[in-house]
Amino acid sequence: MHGARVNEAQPRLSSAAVSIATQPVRTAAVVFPHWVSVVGTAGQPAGAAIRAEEAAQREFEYVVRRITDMAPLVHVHAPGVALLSSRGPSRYFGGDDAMARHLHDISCHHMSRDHMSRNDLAKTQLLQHGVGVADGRCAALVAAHVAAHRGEPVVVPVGGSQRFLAPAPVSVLETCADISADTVHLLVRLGMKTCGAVADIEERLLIDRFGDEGRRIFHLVHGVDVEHLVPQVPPSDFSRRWASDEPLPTVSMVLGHVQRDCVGIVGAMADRGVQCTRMHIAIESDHGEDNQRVWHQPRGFTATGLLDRLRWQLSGWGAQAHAATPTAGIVSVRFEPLEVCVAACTQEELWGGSRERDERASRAVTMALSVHPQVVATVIEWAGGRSGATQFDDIDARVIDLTDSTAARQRVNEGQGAARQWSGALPRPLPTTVFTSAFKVQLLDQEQRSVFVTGRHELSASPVFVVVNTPHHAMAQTLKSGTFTITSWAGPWPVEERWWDPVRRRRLARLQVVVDTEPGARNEVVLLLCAEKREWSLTAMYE
Amino acid sequence: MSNVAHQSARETASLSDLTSGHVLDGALFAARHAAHDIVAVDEPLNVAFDVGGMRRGTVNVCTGVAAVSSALTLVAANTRQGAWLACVDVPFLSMSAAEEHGVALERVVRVEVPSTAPRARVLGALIEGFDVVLLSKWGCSPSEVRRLVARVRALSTLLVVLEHSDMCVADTHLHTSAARWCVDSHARHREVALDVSGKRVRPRRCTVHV
Repeated sequence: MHGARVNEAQPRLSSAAVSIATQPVRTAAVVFPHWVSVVGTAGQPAGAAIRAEEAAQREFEYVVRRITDMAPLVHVHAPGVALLSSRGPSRYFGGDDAMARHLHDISCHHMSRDHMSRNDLAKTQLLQHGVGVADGRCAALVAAHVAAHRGEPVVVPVGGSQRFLAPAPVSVLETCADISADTVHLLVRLGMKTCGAVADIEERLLIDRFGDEGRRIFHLVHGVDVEHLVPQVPPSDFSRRWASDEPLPTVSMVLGHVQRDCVGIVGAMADRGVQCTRMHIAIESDHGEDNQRVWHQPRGFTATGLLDRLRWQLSGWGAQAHAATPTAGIVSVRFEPLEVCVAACTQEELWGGSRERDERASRAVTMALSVHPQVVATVIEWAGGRSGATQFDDIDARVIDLTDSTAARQRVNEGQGAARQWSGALPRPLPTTVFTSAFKVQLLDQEQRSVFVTGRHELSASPVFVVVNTPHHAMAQTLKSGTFTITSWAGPWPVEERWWDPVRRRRLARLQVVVDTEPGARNEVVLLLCAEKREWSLTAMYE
Repeated sequence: MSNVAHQSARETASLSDLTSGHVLDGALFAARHAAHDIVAVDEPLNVAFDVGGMRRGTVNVCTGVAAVSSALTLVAANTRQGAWLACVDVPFLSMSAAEEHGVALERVVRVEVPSTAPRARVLGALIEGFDVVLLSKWGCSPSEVRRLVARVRALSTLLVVLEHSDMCVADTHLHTSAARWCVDSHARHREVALDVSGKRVRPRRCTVHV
């Protein structure tokens, strides 16, 4: 056997999730007020603020790691604020009090270490840290702030959140529960300065006044904050690494060996009801060269999709012209999901849609883009305008979900109907070839004098010749450079755009001329010329 | 196969579905297969094809004075039926005109391949995933062109090229010439001579309005 499959980490929840039946879900919060204030400091230059925030985050990371030893799921809200579900640790330490004390000790340990390294900061400030445990997230954070002042952990008894929060100022709703500042100020102005005062208001009235936010406020001040920390399997639990003793020299061999892992990853995720939308694939050769790429699939990867991505990455790596190509066979492939989401149900469209074709095209675009970084793929969006070159915009296909046919139809058909009939738009049929960068031509009359458009939008003389000096490569088949005789013409049609804007205003005239490209055989081509500031340019052609 | 014969074979094939339980013979299978492989083409260019449309897995070349219009007419009906169109290296193609010709723009992707990129591999990927590929020029070596054409045939993709090349014999070559425009207040329509050739069609010359 060439390879050995290594499951980096089995999903951890199977044992933990068995039975947490009787004990209620509670939340523990650890707060370091001075770090929170570092992040929230106003008036600092932007660069300094970011540096301070990064430093605080770095320091706080040490504490978070220590907490993670005790409970794997820690939510870090901001530097200085961490939340965790207390159920598991509390059972382990024998109650919330013991757990809170342990958290307090962890923080104290960090404080002493931190204090040793930073003598210049005030000791009293450094010692401020608090641990709070309560039923909900908001009450736990408030308890932690209170604990920071008291210097000892605060554990709110089960069901006691409302009583605990009653004397707290309303502003805690803003700082601890993300209620908007405007709402909080309005509550204060209405005379409700404490959470207890807000709790006396009926839920119906709060919803009438503040909508959905009012309902949240009601739940918060009554201590029935429903946002519990629910343990979830972190995405990295699905990561897999395939390793081989013997370097594999060809793409197909690698794919053959990795296939089972791809099926395994997708299967493991499907068992959990999730799918991966962003996958990091790292490939390593026997000589230690590595190639890494993050692939994105908004609809979730299938096993085939994953294999496709790996194939593109492998062939892209091997095909690079410069020295970055691998010099030895592949010995390891690592899949690491970076983003997972709940598996969405996808259904074939009942009529008028062909999901399979859409997905095939989407895969082809991804594959074509992966061949070379400078390949560009775009889709079309209606933009409006009088010129054929600007009526549709190009959008990078990488930022669009090509399989979303409804969005695609909206993108293209927007403004269809009367809104599309711009005054001054070209009459139909429309030119098939438009030049984004128009190039100069000369329009001459019988005496070889230049023809121009007067202020009354009339031609100064009948045009007879058009001189094309530098033909565009796009029209090389139809029109070579030279002087062509005009057999007939239509126009000129004046166009005035943005006359109210002195910078972007344009005043031009369009003229359709029919030229004979083969004088003997009579082969006519219609050119769309555009006169602006007494200069003619070729803007489009009817091919 | 003439239109009538083709139609009758198709009807027989559908009748045989009703009396299921026996194995399709070779002729019926071929007829059904052929019916499935025909792609409708809008007027007026449907006159260029004996079977009423283009066959899947073919290379169609449009050249001459109305090359772009012809190419858009060829692919329009197919995109309206759900096919995806990749326009490769045709930055000058007006999407307004494509819409006017009946192309379903929501299934159009424009691709620009720089000269430094391995063009054949990009084209290969697009041929694999798209139903129709509109190509301004080949830009590949003869061996790459052969491989790409083989892939077009194997995957039943429809390839429309705006360039005549000796590297590849087209299944259908539509050359437009001798265009005469009718102009009154503006250019209204034109009459062109259409030369149809290629290894899969009967050579002919006709006059069409495009």
